[in-house]
Amino acid sequence: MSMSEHELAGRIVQRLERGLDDLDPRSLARLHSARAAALDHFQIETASPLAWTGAGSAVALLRRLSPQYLLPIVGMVLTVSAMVYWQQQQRIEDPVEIDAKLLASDLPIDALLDKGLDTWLQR
Amino acid sequence: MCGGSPWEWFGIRQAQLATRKELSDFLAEVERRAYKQALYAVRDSHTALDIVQDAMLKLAEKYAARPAHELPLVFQRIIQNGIRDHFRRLRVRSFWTSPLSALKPFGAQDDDSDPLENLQVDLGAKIGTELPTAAMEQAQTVGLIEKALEALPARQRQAFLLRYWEEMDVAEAAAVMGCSEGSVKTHCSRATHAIAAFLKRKGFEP
Repeated sequence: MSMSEHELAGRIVQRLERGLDDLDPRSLARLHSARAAALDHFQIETASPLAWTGAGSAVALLRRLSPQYLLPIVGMVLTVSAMVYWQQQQRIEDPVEIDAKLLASDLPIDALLDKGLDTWLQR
Repeated sequence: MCGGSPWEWFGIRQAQLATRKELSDFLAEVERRAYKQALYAVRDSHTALDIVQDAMLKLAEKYAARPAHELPLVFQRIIQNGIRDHFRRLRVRSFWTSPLSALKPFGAQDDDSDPLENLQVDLGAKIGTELPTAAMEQAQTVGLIEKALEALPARQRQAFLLRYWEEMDVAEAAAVMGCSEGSVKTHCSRATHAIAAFLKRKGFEP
């Protein structure tokens, strides 16, 4: 009966795994010292136990955010900015619109033809 | 629905960073496999040890702030980059020493060819004859598998080791190798069958 590919690979890897026990002592010693040297350089950005992942700095925080969360955040910021801008525009435009209505509705046509009115409007 | 603090909605988890102990345990677990992986690729024990040492340092210095569960993937990427850099350096060196060698990329192999067909292995010289029969057979099989791995095209060897030795899933292996999941599957299949066929020809069962 033929073995499946996974079974076959599993057996091969099992042999390789056993072969790891026969590594020569010099290589093992070198690996051990390399590990010790690496651990000496071990540094964590966060010192506090309440630290958040990657919260070492604002940049680090942004780097940690995955795109699936970053896009909605960017979208939210843009939406809020647009709303604030629209509200400000409304504040500016409202009095102008009211003035325009007042001027346009009740004025007789002769008043619009009066040169003095233009001068007054420009003030 | 996301539970916990609002920070978690944004993918910010409370500290689950690898501790020094976790990093130490992780390195102790993977260092010998990493060395062998590098050795199969570069075929020189000193270079392989250098690659593993550099990878360990880089992991501890630059990537220790990653959560513990991300360490295997990051470490594999560093190891693979180390191997690639080694061959890049060799290629640059060979470009200056032998202009003709630059015409063919270093280490370029035809995936369709089977280098194991022409592989000559003198295991008698490598393995002492004083070993007991079972141990000797084990050592011979391991020796043959290692020779077969060294002779495989680089991508096949890489896929096989990541997928089956490092027990990564197809997506993770594809991420480390920078190729599609389909390619990983194809490379794994070819590698497994090539090694098995080679062992069979030599009279060994995997």
